[in-house]
Amino acid sequence: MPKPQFDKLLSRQDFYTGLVTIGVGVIGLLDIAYGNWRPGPGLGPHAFPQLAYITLLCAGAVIITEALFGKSDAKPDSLRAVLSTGIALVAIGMGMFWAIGKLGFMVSVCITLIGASFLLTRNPLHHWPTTIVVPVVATGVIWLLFVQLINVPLPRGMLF
Amino acid sequence: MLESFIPALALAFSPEVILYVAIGVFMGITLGAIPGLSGDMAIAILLPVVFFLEPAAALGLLTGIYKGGMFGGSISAISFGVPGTPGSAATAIDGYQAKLKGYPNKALMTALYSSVIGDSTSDLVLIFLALPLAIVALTFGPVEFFALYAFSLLLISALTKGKVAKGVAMAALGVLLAMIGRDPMGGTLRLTFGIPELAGGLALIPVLVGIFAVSELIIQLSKAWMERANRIMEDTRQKAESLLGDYDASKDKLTMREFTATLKATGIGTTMGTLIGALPGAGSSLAAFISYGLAQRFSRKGDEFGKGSLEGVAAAEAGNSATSGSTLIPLFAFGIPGSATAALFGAAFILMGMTPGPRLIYDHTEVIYALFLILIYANFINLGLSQFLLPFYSKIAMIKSSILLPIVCVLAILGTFAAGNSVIDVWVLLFAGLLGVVLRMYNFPLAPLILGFIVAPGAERALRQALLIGRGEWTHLLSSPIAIGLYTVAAIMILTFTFVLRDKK
Repeated sequence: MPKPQFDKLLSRQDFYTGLVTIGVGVIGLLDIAYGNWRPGPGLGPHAFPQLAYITLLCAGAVIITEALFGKSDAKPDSLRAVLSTGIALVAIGMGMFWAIGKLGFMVSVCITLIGASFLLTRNPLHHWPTTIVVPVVATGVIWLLFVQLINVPLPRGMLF
Repeated sequence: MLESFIPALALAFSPEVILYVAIGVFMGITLGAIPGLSGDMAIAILLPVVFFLEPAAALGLLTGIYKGGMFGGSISAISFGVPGTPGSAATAIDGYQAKLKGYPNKALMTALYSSVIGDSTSDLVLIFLALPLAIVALTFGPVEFFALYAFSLLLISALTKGKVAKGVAMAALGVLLAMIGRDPMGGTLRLTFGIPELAGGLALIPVLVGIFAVSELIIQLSKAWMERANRIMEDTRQKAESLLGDYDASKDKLTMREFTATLKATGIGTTMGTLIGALPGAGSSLAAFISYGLAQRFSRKGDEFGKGSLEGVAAAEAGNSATSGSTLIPLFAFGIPGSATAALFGAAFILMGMTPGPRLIYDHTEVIYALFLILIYANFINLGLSQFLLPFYSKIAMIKSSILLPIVCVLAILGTFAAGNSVIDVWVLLFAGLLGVVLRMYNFPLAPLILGFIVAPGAERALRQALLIGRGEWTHLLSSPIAIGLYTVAAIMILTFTFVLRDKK
């Protein structure tokens, strides 16, 4: 039977993961109790979310208990880099969507793809077939698929 | 029901459907062969296309991608030692050694044949089990259905990655995401945080594509993993060139004797894969490794495993592919997706206006029979296409994923917009992607979240109906022997599998 390791608990990743899980559960339950839910008696619209929040709370407690006994995942590598990429992708995605309405589908998608290829390739001009030709061809194929075949009503821009 | 068979036959073998199956198989193998991309990701991204195709054609396309992706992962596993999909990790153990020893073609052909055998057998099990189980499920009331939903959620949470608490937390989070919007019974707004656009709830496509595909794309884009995989491929290419002097292609052909020698391992893989695939959350990776281990134990040449054994390749690949049919059994019989892929198929059914569950086969007999036929003949299309294109597929696997990732991102965004004509869906997609990234980084399994999101409306309806019948008494949930049986089996399986996985670690 392993012994609890209180002294190492604060250095374990899953202690914090468990705390966040419990936190979400507690906030949710408080919201149901004091928020604008108007639950009333019986099994109203709040019951199932309440069950889910209680489950989160219990799961968080188990995660912390496991961390106490030495079972914890390691701290994630390169979290900042991955999250930065994620935020950049959200910005680029919304930017592309906004640009489609201003500049037009072909121009916006083509610029986005060429820009992304330049960012991801070392010496992008040296590899011009993959960083310029492939995005242009891909834009044409995507245009055929979405605009001509599926007839997606995309916002119209100034160009094409 | 037999009178529906002839129209289903005509539907399944219409030129349009056959073409879509072939396109799907080609796409699946191609994407599966490229490390970092997978058949599941392709299915997720192509889900919006389902809206614009006939049901049989759409299901044919998705089935083709699924089957192609299953085998595609083994191409890069054998050619470069880099598994194209998680399920092909066990194939890489012996497959890559076989390649280094100068018989890659034999290994690839063994993988192809065992994959097709495992897959076809699993499809037959699905076809013959789904209908009887659906008949049983039709007798279920709200109490039994709620027990079944709870059973699946608990089991998938326990089996995915072996982290029960994190799995359960994810299932609860999936349920909460599904609760956003208007309460279907009373019309009350829930968890909308004052944002009127959320009153309609979160749409299925942006959540699925975001959690599954976009999160994976973000990680692939950012991690040096991609560079590392490319470097491994470059090293392998150089090694292959140095081996080329001794390589005799005429000697690297799979003989009938070698093929029959792998049949026992293929049988073990097929049996284990079919059984494990039917369990919610167990997954193809677990099936492949268990099959590999068992085949090694029962082989006369067990000591050759890990050194380029064709039996090792056959067992792993059959185990991986044999999950493909059986993983759909819970979806067809009970409307509960047992795996990420089954969840994607379930989403496709919902998008086509078909509710997964026991009534699915009765209400859409022709389409489902056509799907059964497609499941079988897609394997033969996979066999034919792969035999013909195998030399080219190894080259496809060398395509740098950095070229394809931006294109896939754009497809995901436009596809999501196309499905709902809503910019809110694009926002949900991107934020679901970010949520998926955070959860992946902290080792939370995503399959329970998706299952929770999909089954929550049904589970809530069953719970509220059951409690209404039981006049608010929670003990009414234990009034049925079937429900008690399901809770007991869930508890036993969670305990068993948790300890099995812990011991394995």
